[in-house]
Amino acid sequence: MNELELKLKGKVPGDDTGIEIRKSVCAICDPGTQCGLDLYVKDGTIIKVAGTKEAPHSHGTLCSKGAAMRQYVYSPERVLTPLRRTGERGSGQFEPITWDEALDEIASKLNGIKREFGPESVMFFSGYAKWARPYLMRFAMDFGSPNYLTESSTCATAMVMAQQLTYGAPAGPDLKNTSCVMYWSHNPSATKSLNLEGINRKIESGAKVIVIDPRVTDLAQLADVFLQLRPGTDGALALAFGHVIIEEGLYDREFVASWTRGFDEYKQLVADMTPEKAAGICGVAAADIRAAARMYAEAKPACVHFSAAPVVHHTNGVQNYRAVFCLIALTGNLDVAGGNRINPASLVHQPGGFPTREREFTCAHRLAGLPERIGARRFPVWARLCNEAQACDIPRQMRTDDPYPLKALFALGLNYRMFPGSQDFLDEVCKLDFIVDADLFLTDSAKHADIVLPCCSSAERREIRCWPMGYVQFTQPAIEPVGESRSDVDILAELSKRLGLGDELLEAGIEACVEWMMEPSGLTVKDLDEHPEGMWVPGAKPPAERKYLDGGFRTPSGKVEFVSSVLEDVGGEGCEALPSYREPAMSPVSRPDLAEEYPLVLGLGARLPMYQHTRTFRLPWTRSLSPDPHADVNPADAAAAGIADGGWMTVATPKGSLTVRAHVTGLVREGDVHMYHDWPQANANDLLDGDYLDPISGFPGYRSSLCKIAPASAEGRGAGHD
Amino acid sequence: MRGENVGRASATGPVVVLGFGAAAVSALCALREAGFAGPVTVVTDAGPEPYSPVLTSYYAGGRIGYGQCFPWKDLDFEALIDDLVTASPVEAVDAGAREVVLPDGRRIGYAKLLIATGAHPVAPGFPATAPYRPLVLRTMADADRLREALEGVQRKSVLVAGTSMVGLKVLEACLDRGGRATMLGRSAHILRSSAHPLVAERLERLLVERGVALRLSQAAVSAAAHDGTRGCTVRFDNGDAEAFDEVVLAQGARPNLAFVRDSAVEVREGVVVDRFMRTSAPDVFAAGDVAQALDLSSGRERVIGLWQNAVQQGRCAGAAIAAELAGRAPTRPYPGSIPSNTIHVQDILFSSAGALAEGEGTRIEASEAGGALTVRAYAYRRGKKQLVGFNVLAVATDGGLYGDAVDEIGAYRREILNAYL
Amino acid sequence: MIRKSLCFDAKKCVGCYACAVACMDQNDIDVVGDGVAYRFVAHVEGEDGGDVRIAHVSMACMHCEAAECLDACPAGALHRDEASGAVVVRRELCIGCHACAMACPFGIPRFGRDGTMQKCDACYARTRFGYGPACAEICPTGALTFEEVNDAADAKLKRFGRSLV
Repeated sequence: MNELELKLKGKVPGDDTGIEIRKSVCAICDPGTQCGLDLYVKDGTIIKVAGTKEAPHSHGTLCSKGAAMRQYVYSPERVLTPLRRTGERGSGQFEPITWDEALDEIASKLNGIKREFGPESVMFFSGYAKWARPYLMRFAMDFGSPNYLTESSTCATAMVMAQQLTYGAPAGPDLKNTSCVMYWSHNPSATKSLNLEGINRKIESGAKVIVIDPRVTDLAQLADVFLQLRPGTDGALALAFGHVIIEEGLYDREFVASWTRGFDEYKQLVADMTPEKAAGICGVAAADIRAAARMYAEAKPACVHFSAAPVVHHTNGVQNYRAVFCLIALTGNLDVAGGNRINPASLVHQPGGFPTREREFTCAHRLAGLPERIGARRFPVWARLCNEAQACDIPRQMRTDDPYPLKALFALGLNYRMFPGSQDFLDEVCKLDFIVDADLFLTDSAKHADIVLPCCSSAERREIRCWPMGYVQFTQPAIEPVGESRSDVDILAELSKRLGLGDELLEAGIEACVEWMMEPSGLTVKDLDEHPEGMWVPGAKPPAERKYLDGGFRTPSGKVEFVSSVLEDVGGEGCEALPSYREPAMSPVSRPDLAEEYPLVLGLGARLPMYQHTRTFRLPWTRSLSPDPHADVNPADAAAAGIADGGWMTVATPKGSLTVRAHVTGLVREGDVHMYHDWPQANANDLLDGDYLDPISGFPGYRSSLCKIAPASAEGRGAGHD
Repeated sequence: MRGENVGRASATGPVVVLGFGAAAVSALCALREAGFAGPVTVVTDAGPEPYSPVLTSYYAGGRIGYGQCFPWKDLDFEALIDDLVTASPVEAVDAGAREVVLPDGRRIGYAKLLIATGAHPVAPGFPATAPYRPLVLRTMADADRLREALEGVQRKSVLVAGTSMVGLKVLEACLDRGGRATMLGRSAHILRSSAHPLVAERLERLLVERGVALRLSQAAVSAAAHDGTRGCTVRFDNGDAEAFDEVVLAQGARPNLAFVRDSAVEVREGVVVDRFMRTSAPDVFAAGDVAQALDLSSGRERVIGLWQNAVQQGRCAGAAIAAELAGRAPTRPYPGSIPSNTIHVQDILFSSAGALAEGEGTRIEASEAGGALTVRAYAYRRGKKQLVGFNVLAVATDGGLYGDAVDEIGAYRREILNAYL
Repeated sequence: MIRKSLCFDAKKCVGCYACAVACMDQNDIDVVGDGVAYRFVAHVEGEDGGDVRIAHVSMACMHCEAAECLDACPAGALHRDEASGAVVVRRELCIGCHACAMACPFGIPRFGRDGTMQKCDACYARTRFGYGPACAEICPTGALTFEEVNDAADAKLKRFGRSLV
């Protein structure tokens, strides 16, 4: 090989090879802190993907999903033109149509439905990625529908709610300045491998680490104390922490006295939850509970590293996390350096250390004047605390037309498998008169739409993202859109014109919108365009400490609420004002009758590192790493059922059963079965009923229900993706 | 570029290497890598470019072209060799005079001599068939004849006499050429020295399923050449007679040592060598298919005619020669080896290492998961603690993929070796 | 000449597979067609004083100093790239005989549907020009690195290698 051939083989950028590195961000998974992409482009085509070294969070690294970006962009299953359904819903039979035909048809259908049934009968849904959500919400408000909803109806929002109820706004862990981190259900190996280097450094610096997780994880192995609790008992454990902290006088008396509401009631509540009692509930040693509670309370400062979904994916999820978050206030670690700090979001749920007008841009303030949202009556706490409708209530409203009929769905990235009783959810959605889904691929969800619009990936569009350390990036397209695909925002802008919504800003396109939103930051699109790789925001600053000193917390009382004013006001079962512990609705304790036939605790939603919901099943690179659906089973349970490692087994609940491979592992507790969700041929979320929900948040109780396992043959195992 | 001239050949002559195969080339490289800058003479009965005998069956079968049979294209032979004598056999070695005698009477003195002349096929017990000359497979010339013979008429019938690894390689070449092949062997099963009878039996079934006829526990008693055409009719000891277009003898090989008549060089099965490949005669070394080195499996010294052994023995010899010429003792002994082999016949892969016979017991596993057949035999001793040999037989599925078992053969081989080393 | 080498620290590996996919991307590996993965990630579960432990290993060709595969290949399909020290396969010369598979104690040589051997080449075509191997460049935890090999790192790698054999 001559030198040029060698360079081409190595994909070495340069004038001689014609390979250029273009900067973008990965939006396959969407943690807010996107990873920077170096896209190696030759002749307009991406030939290699690497991480961006100057990216403030990812530092040139990526995970296995991002590394597969090229197959994501160039998947042969990309939708290349707008499609109109010609066969039955789900048949996958479509005809290509032009953008004009598609947009005109959508505009005429949606306006017709609006005239006949009111704007609220049209739902506007966003799945992944999250970048276009502010635009979609504005679009929904323009249209006049209160029913802007997202897949966050089953992810992250309930965690935010638990914090809002307790101290008004989310307070992230200040890992940099802390001396103790309590990881309450966080498995970065599978979901945020980028976090691990920082964790390792933190441990090397002598910080204490407490890990609470139903499974043994890599992180758990690094912990000073690891509590492997029974799924869904987080609340009991947290109350026991409170018990120890108060009993041993380790709480921050001054803060508690000045800045909390309902401490006496809380004190009474935890007095009953001795470590010994919690040990019985949670299946961990009382001594370990005491050790962990002391470690967290005595370290100054200490923070709680929470995560988006695991703890709130229980029918008692919000209260469980509320009990955890109370510990932050109890120990005086709230809004202080090294503790948990309230940090307002700048863009797409993410703090950036600079002010924006994103919230104003979404026009959320108009919600007040619109009809009630889906789920508002069933989940009043949800309706009070967040700006979205609760999508988990769609099937009920479809069945009952209560409080009004739903007729149409306009979705950017619909994935019905995110919802409990997924098939039932889809069946109900299919009864709508009109469904539009914009996506990259003809997904199993998209197959049920009347019109499918081809979206482009983050490599083909512009989007603005920020990072908490004061970094912002307004990306440039690295390549031309594949086929006739378009950016979600371009679609909304074009559709807005045809619907006659009269939104000049949105219709002016993304640059105008970004210019408008970024105005308070002092940065213009021109500034941003000079730095396609992203830039440090001049004057960006970390949030001040103890902001509550000036105006209190954003709770009704202005204080940290051990006793929640909102829950007190709403009332009802499961909405107790104190974060009291209730068993998951289906557990061996709460349903001994059911546990006779279904003796194992089923946890759905544990992550695998190469998958993010359904987004990378169809990529051969990631799929080759874990081709078959499987569930983790403890060796004792597998042996009792006569199931071999790698063999096929059925996992059955009262709702249904699936056949998956057994991964026999001591990493899960005896009595627990954990399964990754969303597999096309074995969707775990179908094992639960659509009504298996937390009464506060409407979140599905994915992480604890009951099941049984039995050996199975491999017959009828098909391939597929989503 | 040669290194510093640390080793100077004595006044009696250069380093002389007899043979130009894997052991010889490897020795030449090692000599120069060790810094030997003196003259080197190579004498070969073949052409000026060394070929790989392992590739001859692939060439005869049409899988690779002629040019691909020469695997050392990157080597700078001019830097390795000063005098290359081609197409010349060796008449004799005069260890006393430190001279090699060529057929034309020419004598080449040597400071150090490496015998790396390889082996030739033998045909014990196959009856004389003149004027038909059965084919053999070893040299490029043999390969050319076999290739020509197989290329001719479609569906030629070929008798492969011999059921060793070479026999199977010839069989593969025949099948690649669309021939109808019959395997003849005296033993009840093929691959007598390496395969467990049950594994061999399964392999035989696979061969039969692929159209191969087997004549096992049989021998040829006579072979009558056909008049006018090539081919002959072979009569077997069970009374059968069958006409074949071609007969290929693949019954094993013997070291090329006809020229070693000097009793100073001790020869048993092969040339007797020490761990630095030194023979009993001063300054004479031997490596590759002529040398009998330590078989770790049996603990005996014997010839294990494998490419990798030849390369490693050649390297050892080359380094030892360079060291001695530089006035140092050689330091890196040849550790010995175990028998090991891999062989393909169409979609079948058979591999073995170590010696099943050395085990106290054999465990056999067969699986047909997902249509992929694998049969594995493991022989152990010291309870089940020490693996001493294995067979893995696998059939490719899914368009040419062998199962996981094949990915592990190197680890098994290493496990066997580790116990001995 | 100072030579850099791929180093692996099992303590830092969390089995995230980023290296495995980055390798597929760099080498355009068609995993559903003719290609086979060059880099593997294995999860090893064990016990330590009654506690379950898990460790992860990211493995590809070790580019051994005394590479037995180099000795075993009868077809000249394997050679060492002098600049990087990488053992490199030329698939166009491979006859698929599996001799390298028999020689390699790590089970590295893999064969695609075309029958030829495929494996990691330590991205020698990148490292020659000052870029890192794709797997090391992407590793989020610093478990896989491309570093100058000093005696300590070398000894560590050798210990690790021996523990695998």
